[in-house]
Amino acid sequence: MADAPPVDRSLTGAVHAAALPGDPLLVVDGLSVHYGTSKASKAAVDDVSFTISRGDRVGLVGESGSGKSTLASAILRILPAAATVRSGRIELGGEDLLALKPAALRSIRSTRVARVPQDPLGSLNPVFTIGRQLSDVVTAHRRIGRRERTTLVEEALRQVGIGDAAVKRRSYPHELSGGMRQRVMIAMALLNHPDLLIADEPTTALDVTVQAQVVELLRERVDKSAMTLLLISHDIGVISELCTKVMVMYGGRVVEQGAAADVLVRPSHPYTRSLLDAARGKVTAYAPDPTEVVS
Amino acid sequence: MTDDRTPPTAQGDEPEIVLDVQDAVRHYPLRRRSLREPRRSVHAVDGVSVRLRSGRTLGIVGESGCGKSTLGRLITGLETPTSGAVRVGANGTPAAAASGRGTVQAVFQDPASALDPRMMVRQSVAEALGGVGRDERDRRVDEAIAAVGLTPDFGSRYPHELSGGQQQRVCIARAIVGEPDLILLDEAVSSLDASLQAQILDLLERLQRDTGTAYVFISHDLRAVRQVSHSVAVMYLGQVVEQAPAEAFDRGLLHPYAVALRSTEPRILDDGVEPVERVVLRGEPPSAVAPPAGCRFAPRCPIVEDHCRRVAPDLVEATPGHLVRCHRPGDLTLSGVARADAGTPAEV
Ligand SMILES: Nc1ncnc2c1ncn2[C@@H]1O[C@H](COP(=O)(O)OP(=O)(O)OP(=O)(O)O)[C@@H](O)[C@H]1O
Ligand SMILES: Nc1ncnc2c1ncn2[C@@H]1O[C@H](COP(=O)(O)OP(=O)(O)OP(=O)(O)O)[C@@H](O)[C@H]1O
Ligand SMILES: [Mg+2]
Ligand SMILES: [Mg+2]
Repeated sequence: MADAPPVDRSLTGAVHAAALPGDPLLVVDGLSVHYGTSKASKAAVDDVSFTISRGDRVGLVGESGSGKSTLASAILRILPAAATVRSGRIELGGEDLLALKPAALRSIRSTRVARVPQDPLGSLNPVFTIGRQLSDVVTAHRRIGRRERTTLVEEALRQVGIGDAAVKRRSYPHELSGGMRQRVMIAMALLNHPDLLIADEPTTALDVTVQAQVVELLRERVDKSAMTLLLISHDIGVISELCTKVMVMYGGRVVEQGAAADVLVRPSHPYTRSLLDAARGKVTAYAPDPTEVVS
Repeated sequence: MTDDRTPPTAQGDEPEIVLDVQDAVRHYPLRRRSLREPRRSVHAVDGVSVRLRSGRTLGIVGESGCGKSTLGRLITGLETPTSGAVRVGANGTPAAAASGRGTVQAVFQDPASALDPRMMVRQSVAEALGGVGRDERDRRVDEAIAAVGLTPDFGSRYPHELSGGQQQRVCIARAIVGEPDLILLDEAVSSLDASLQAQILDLLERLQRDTGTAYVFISHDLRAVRQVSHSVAVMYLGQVVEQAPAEAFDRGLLHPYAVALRSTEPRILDDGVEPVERVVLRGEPPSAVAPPAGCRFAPRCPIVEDHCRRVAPDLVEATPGHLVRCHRPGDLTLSGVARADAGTPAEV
């Protein structure tokens, strides 16, 4: 997340094909987002700049209400009507996202950049089974037969640790547990192999065992499938386990960013320090040796 | 938090029971695509018994999908048990009948959907506070909103104008404002950062001390659970497999699932320490539609024996207040995990 090298402005496809790990993938420059129209309205995202390189696993932490989800929505161009981008630039693989027409945007979303929303229940359609909603994501971009669709959906569910896939596929969102819905959103976001995954608090309902499995899955996708990850989480433990870089937001601004090993160990901003102190303060003396328990 | 969290053992001076769950079962029938398809159901909660006294906190942990929220919905009377009984309050009213009367409040797992989109924050919070004069109502609503770390101007916002963590805190304000007998907290602090979490847990503890509110605290965050609970129930596939006093939750867990769960906590990157390999339970997650015949954990248990696959263990008392459902309690140990001095293990 150092200063952005010059951005390749050639055609998306070309950039896509020639992309190398370490090349800048997402460039956000001077971005400000406001809610409400009044001149006095406070910025929810306030002059934010950063660059995420291909293959990075970036953690975004910050106070509740500091603008993390707003930033994610701005990148996906799914801000609510009440929000306006006052200034700034967002580029994905050299393409100016803020200038894209709706049709081009639709094709970028979910194939090139996907999001795991913070509120799964509110984001799933209550009248369709989750199997239907998962397969719709695939068929929006590809023609495949019914059999193959079922296999794909069940496999996607199993990957996120939903073992009873044949039953759960036919369930409606309200018939799943909170953590299952969260995992359905993760599975859905991964289905089309996006270049960039923005996961907004994806583990708040996951017990530590399932969480470990999801962390592994995300790491694997980054390492083996050339995905780049922006993980929004308040859980310093998950960030520690998964992220190589960390950004800290406070009051709409990015107040600190750098390698995870630096930010989490030698935080410079007082908010980061208090956050880490609070997280560490809760650590009990319990620290078992790592042992694989395999059945 | 307070130092002495051991419930007193003497029968006479114990506070009254505010929650009594007896052999509660909740099955959800599966839709059939044809009449020839056999009737099957999801065994979401399958014979849970717990008791909670005024002024105490019962923590509930367990794998995603093991039935924690379903148990929560039974406790709040949102759903009725397929069989068994759930009673709340000092007079033991069935939970379904007490629902909506203010004895039990809840913070549900999905804060966004739990708030009425047409109500401003102030209205939502005030709604939970029946039968007080207007001035007092305004004062208490203001207090509750401030107590969860929101400024007064949030009172006039609608739910969709709030961040995820702000919505969650409005739900907490609504649950505490009426000082109920019992509050169900289902992943209630899960989208708050560590400092805010500490602030909210403090708030809950103060309320408990002052008014004797009891909590059922469901969370995937084992540290938070440990911090607030007097006793912790570990659930697996619809059943309680271990219920341990808080101290035993630290060092003396006996059920192999509980031991594995406790050892998987993510660790925070520290000076010079690289992230470490962790204990990962493998094997297909069990089906809640056709639970294994013997011990439900047998298919994934690292210390399984033939006997376990055939005979389902009962929940038995290992030491006073410490229950475990396992044929080999205390036999799974991880190097470095101090083993409990669990006293006489349960008869198997
Ligand atoms: N539609 C809206 N109208 C007005 N203000 C809003 C709206 N949506 C969000 N906000 C405000 O913008 C700020 C940033 O919200 P955002 O959801 O981005 O926070 P966040 O960092 O994701 O917080 P959390 O960790 O609690 O989810 C918050 O103070 C919130 O109250
Ligand atoms: N209305 C319903 N109809 C059918 N099945 C349901 C219904 N509600 C819950 N279930 C199923 O019951 C099981 C238990 O769900 P529950 O929500 O209680 O789990 P949980 O322990 O709270 O999990 P999480 O930690 O993920 O929130 C799951 O398999 C779920 O799919
Ligand atoms: Mg958010
Ligand atoms: Mg739940």
